Amino acid sequence: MLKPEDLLVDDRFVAWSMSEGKLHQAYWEAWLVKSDEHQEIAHQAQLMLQELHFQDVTPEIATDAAWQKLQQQLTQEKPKRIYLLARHWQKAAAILLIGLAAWFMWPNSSDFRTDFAEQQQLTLPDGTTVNLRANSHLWWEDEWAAQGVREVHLEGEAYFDVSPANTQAGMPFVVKANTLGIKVMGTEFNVVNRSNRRQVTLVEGSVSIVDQGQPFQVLRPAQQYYWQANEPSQIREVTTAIFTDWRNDRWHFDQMPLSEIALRIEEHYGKDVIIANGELQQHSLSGTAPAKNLKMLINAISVSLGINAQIDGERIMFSAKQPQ
Amino acid sequence: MSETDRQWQLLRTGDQKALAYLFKHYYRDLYQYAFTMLSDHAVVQDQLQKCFLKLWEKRATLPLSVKVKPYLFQTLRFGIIDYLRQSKAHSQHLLNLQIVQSRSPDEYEQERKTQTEEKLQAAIQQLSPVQKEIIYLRFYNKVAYTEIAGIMGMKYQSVRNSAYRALKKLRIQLLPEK
Repeated sequence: MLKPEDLLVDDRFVAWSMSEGKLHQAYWEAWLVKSDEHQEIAHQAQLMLQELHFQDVTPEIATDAAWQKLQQQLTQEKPKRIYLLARHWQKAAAILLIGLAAWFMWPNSSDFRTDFAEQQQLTLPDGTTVNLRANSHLWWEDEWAAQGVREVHLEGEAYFDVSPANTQAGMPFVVKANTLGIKVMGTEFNVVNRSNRRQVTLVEGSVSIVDQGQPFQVLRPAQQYYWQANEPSQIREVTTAIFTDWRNDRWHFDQMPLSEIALRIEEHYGKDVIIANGELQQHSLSGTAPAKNLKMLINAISVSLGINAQIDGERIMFSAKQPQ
Repeated sequence: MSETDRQWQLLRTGDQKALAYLFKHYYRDLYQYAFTMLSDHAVVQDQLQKCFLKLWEKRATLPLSVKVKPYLFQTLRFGIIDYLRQSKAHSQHLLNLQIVQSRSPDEYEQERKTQTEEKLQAAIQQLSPVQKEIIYLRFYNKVAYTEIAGIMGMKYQSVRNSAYRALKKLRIQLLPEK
């Protein structure tokens, strides 16, 4: 007979139970409904997991202080003679000057577009890095210094990594996305501005948000601002990886209906997606799909849902399987 | 590529900011792990510093493609095992110290543990050192069995077998019999 430990030595079960993302959800849900015994054992295994909750040890030295201590040791690593250090300073000063000059002389080409199925990594003049998702557009006016604010505009989707060192230089970093405004204090976050939805997912740091004239709201890490057409906006807790993993060519779905998945494919790949049978629209999918290329993605979706898929030039057709 | 993988590549090129990123990102995780083996804040702190100093010294020759978290756990573990070996001479000392401590209950009053925690601690004490470490790594540090095998230098199947025996012991202690 099956025992709880049989499940607890399975990484997939533990990952699913500890909800490290929605991994393997479809698999285990299917497994659970197979028999009452399965449900009972899974229940016991999850009780065990609760019991195995260890008390956290709080470090005596906080993270930043510990790093500073380490950094001191790093600088002591190889003592250098004074004149060498002086030369380093000269070098550093020269690089700084070149850097500043480059910043001020940054050319006017501040308009980037990605094609369907294309992803770009950009470095902005202040050192901020941006992953621009497919079918997206990022632009800004080259007047940052004059305006005293680093303002960029986004259509589509992008992941921003704004380093705190840059915000300390004084100028706030602002992302405008349709009616949405995001003000940043050195941080990492993902922004979606598509036809039917706007999302800001905060990975690290802190941002404040203004949308449609509402008072500004502050996001904490792992929180998401979420607005969908015809619905009031909300702030919810999320597993951020689900919303940022597109950078690694993985798409996460959490109970997403096929009709919505079809829209995502159209946005990202620029193909027309047709769902042949009306009842398929509401079939929903949970899990992770590799999206390195369209074929892999379509295959993963059709296999998971047990339906047929056909890629025909610019068209993708999903249809129900014919009974054998 | 995940952010930690990206930082790993930057570290290999000698970027100290990448070292800072990895240190801060994994500090708590590594601390918890080291503490379960050492139970001494000062020693844990020291071992963590050594682990990252070593990483920095070796930055030019670090492997190109690696799972960052298990690699750091493994580096830290090597350091801890070395430390434990060297301090073997003093271990008698440590043992005495612990007995003295357990005689003064005031010390423990601060760490007012709930009943379930005591139950869990009691159950954990019945496990072998290897079993303990596997259970901590999997359920505390959330490291997959496949990666634990790499960290502890064991075969994947032996890790699973050890875990299975440990979990069975724990279940008998923790879950009421039907």
